[in-house]
Amino acid sequence: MIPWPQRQTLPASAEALRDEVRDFLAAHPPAPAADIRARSWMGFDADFSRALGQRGWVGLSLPREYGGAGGSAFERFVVLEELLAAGAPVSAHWIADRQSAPLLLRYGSESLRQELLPRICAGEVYFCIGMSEPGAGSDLASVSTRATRNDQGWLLNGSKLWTTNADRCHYMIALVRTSGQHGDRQQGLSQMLVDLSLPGITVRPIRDLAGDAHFNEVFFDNVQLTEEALIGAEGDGWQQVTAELAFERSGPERIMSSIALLECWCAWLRRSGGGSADRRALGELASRLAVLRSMSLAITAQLEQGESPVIPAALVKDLGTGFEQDIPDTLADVIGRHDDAFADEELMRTLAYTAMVCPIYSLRGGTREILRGLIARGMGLR
Amino acid sequence: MSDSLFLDSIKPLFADISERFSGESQFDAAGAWSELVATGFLRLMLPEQDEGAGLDVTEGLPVLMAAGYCALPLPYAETALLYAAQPTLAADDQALAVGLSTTAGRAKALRQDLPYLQALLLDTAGGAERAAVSDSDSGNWTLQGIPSPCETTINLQLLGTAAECLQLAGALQRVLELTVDYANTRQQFGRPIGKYQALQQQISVMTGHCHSAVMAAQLAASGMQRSDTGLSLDHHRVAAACGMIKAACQPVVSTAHAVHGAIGVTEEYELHHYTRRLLAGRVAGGSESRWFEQVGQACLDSDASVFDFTLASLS
Ligand SMILES: Cc1cc2nc3c(=O)[nH]c(=O)nc-3n(C[C@H](O)[C@H](O)[C@H](O)COP(=O)(O)OP(=O)(O)OC[C@H]3O[C@@H](n4cnc5c(N)ncnc54)[C@H](O)[C@@H]3O)c2cc1C
Repeated sequence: MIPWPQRQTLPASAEALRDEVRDFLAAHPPAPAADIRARSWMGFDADFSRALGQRGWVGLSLPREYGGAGGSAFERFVVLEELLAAGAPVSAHWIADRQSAPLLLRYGSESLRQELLPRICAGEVYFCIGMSEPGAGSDLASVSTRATRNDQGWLLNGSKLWTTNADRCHYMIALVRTSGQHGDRQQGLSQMLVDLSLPGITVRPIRDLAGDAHFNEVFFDNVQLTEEALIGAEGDGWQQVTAELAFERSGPERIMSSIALLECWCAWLRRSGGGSADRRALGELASRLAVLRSMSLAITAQLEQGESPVIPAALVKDLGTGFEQDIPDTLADVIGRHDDAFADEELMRTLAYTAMVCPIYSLRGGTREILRGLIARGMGLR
Repeated sequence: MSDSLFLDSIKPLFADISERFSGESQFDAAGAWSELVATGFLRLMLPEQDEGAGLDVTEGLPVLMAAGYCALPLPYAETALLYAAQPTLAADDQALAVGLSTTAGRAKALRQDLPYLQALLLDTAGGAERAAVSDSDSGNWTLQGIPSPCETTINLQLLGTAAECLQLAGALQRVLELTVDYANTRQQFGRPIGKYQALQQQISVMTGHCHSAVMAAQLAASGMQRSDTGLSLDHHRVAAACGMIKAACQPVVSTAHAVHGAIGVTEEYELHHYTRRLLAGRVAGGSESRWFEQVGQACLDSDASVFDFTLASLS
């Protein structure tokens, strides 16, 4: 059985950051239009990321000797939820902050840590995650991109798909095969640091159904990596990726993706009145938000204690992304009861955007079905 | 004593009373109540000056949930919370619950299936009243004598609903455990049925509902602050949490019964004790819509963003 969640309140030191972040956001205001803010963690703005880095809020929980602020996971939680609630454009530094930096801290060589972590914390160096491939989606262990040892290090060949920000970031951490064959599954996989400016790399942006281009196809044609590019131990890639996913799966970003729509609608409701069905919908969504946030915070407490709550994190992600998807669903229904809502163009644009892109919430970072398989394992069914 | 020591020392009695209730044709409810009184656990959340154990609701929560986990057929959680809300109510160790007046001289408890009750707390135009009751006719209790005024200013409807919901959270835990055990035990097509992905996915969703409800119960408990003079309720936090627990009941009941197949609908198998309770409890004191609507109204009235309202009033 998965352990029952234990409520955790934020320590005062973390809560104290909230006003500071709000002051910062007042000086660096996110886009005024709700349908732009709705893109939040897909919104790329290097100036914003650097300004955040100057405040010490990128890599906040990394040790000071690597440029971090030596803060707690709770402090990071507050900064994240405030940025997301405001719809700030956090995409540039997001992946490095969330998973690449902790991964490098844990498995990277000392020289790599010295070289990269301070620049990540400054909000200057951005990362992407090269896991998925054309033939390896949910079945991640079937990746076929390969790094072969040679006298200068590793020679990389193959391709990655759906790589968020590959076209505008500096490094990829790629899961690749370093030994064995396709059929060897989890064995023989390793994580490689790939400098995306190296020769032999081609990046092709892919446009999404809302017209945005945030993910990419990446091709590797005899890309020469140094010996140093190997992160952690050769053959340990699978275990490292699994641990990394606990960071990826339970944060406030798995709850807040539709918050711009929810706020835009609530503001409209205050102006226009609305009825019992609207109040019920608002009350339900706010109540779910409160409970999910507490669950996410409970996972944060476990991460802070150095645990790796992979399965509880999958549970929170499954619930959280369901909530994010129910927001446009519920609101389309209640908004559609009021003729005058159609005249509010910002509201209707935000609804249309969120409703159209929300299927991705339960795809990225592992699909709903895969997460539910993990939960079933945690419950002792597999 | 730590929380779990409290729990370990009372849970066997809860389970024993529950077993007697479902197993014996002549269940001695008054006798079982006296046993509960003798343990002192009704005073779990009373201050020490009132011979209580002085626990906060958060500290007492595992015990309150255990009443639901064990399908305890007595108003233990209701009474313990009412004593905490108004310590003078504890004076004569009576079995209490929050009720609603129905026809003249009659009232219902929020929880309908209670076999035993000595007095109901009723909200009337003139304030809270305590009415002695006797003889339940399918949940309709006969009022005895003239109700006496009760000093409390607490929102009785919300307190009664919360007492119910904390027990429902315990019942949800029990139903999840029964369902997982059954899925791992029952074999069809040569394998435990829990090996089939269709059931795994349903049980995973059910797990999510139950975990949300358990977190909601903790939020509700944290919204019930105890002082030496009684409880004060953080209205919206408790209401939101109750709504979440109630919303979990129907989907969990559906999946539990689906996974159990025919055995789950028999009188003999224990599942129905909990699922009946979940279905009735969802409605008792008001369904999720009732509480969610209040939360929504409060959010609109607050003038804050939904996020800020959630932080300030629901978390
Ligand atoms: C916006 C966005 C950004 C992304 N960014 C990145 C990124 O930066 N880096 C990266 O590496 N990847 C990224 N991804 C890829 C993402 O991780 C994959 O989409 C995801 O793992 C699913 O793979 P797939 O799309 O190939 O779907 P498939 O694996 O083909 O799945 C299709 C359907 O089949 C179901 N399915 C598959 N296997 C099973 C099974 N065993 N049991 C039951 N059902 C199953 C799935 O649940 C799904 O419903 C991104 C995706 C999106 C949408």
